[in-house]
Amino acid sequence: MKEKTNFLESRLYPVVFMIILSAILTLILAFSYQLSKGRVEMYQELRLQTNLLSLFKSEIPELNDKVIKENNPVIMNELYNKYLVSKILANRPDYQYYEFLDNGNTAGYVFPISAKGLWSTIKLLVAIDPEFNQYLGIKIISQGETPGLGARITENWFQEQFTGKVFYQGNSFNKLQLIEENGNPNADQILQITGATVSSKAIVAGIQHDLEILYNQNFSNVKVD
Amino acid sequence: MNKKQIFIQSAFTENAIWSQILGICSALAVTNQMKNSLVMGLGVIFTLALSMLTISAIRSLIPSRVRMMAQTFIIAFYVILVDLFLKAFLPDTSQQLGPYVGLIITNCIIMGRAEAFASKNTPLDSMVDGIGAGVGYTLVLLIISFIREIFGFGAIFGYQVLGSWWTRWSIMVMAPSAFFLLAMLIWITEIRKRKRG
Repeated sequence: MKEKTNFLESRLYPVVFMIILSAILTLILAFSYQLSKGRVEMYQELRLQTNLLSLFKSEIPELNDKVIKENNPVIMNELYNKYLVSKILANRPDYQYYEFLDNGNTAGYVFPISAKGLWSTIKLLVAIDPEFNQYLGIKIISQGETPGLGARITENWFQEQFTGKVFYQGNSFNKLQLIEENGNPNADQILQITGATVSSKAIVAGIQHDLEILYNQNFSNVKVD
Repeated sequence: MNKKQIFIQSAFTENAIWSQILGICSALAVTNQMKNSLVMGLGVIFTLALSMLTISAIRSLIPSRVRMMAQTFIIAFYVILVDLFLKAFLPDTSQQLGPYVGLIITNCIIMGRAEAFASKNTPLDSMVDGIGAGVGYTLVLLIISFIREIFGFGAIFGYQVLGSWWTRWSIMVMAPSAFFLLAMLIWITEIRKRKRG
């Protein structure tokens, strides 16, 4: 009986204590996780669908800034099912990309791409026409660049510059150049963000690098001669 | 000491940041915008209040040999709850704060208060002490982020208050400015403390 009175001081007690504490806390956490799981996943899904749809804002009549701002999950889901379909690359089963459908015909592709920024990995979506001739738009989905400088890559004017830029011309890839923010860009130039050269460069280089690989490995047959 | 004295002591006289130099890593990281600072501060207050309450309530049961492990465990538990709550109900803020919410676990203030106060005092006193330390921390975050946001963006809580004539100070947006400002704040409070003797 001596052992029992001294249990709080025994060598075994810390072990028993930690096991019980872990069991209780983990149980509560698992329960709260289950409760919030639905909502968290819904928001992630909604964010992705809104980002994908907003790339094709000009081609989707039901979609305007007001609908995007309201961000109603039901409406967004309906539009998503109507216009987009997710696909998987044959040689990379873990890579998911999206096809934009206009009346059942493929009218564009969207590829998730990552670029190495100054501080963070920048994740973005790039939309391109079905023949890989020109960019239809880009959308930054997550980044951790300096707020006020590199983080300005999320500003609309910066992202909109890519729309209509040429990706592939003749028999070669077209290279986009960066010029100063207050410059006068020609058809192949992108205005970079003042004070954020690295972030701006990272995006242009990241998009071209990843898309060239995708094109060479999976889409080189899309060209109509 | 009554509860009011405990609060004032842990929030101001022994402020975690300017007098104990604890928790400055996160003070440097999230202070370029006031909104992020406020959410971070609220997260820390919530974590501090509840983990101090819990740690103090079971303090006689926690074996001293594993007390640090048990305290960290309890703190991590509440931080994960905060993170889940933000993800489920404030997804945009959660997105902006990114990994910083999870890093509340490593905020030295929480371990500091658990060791210095909650492991020796009653649950309610510990909770008040925790809230006090959290309020003191939030206050410093808001002071620094106010200066950084107004000079760096010309804004307060995201609302533009200075017009387009204002030249934004890029340095205020970047990490180094937090070092200068924090150092100045500690300097000022030290001078005041010495004058009082």
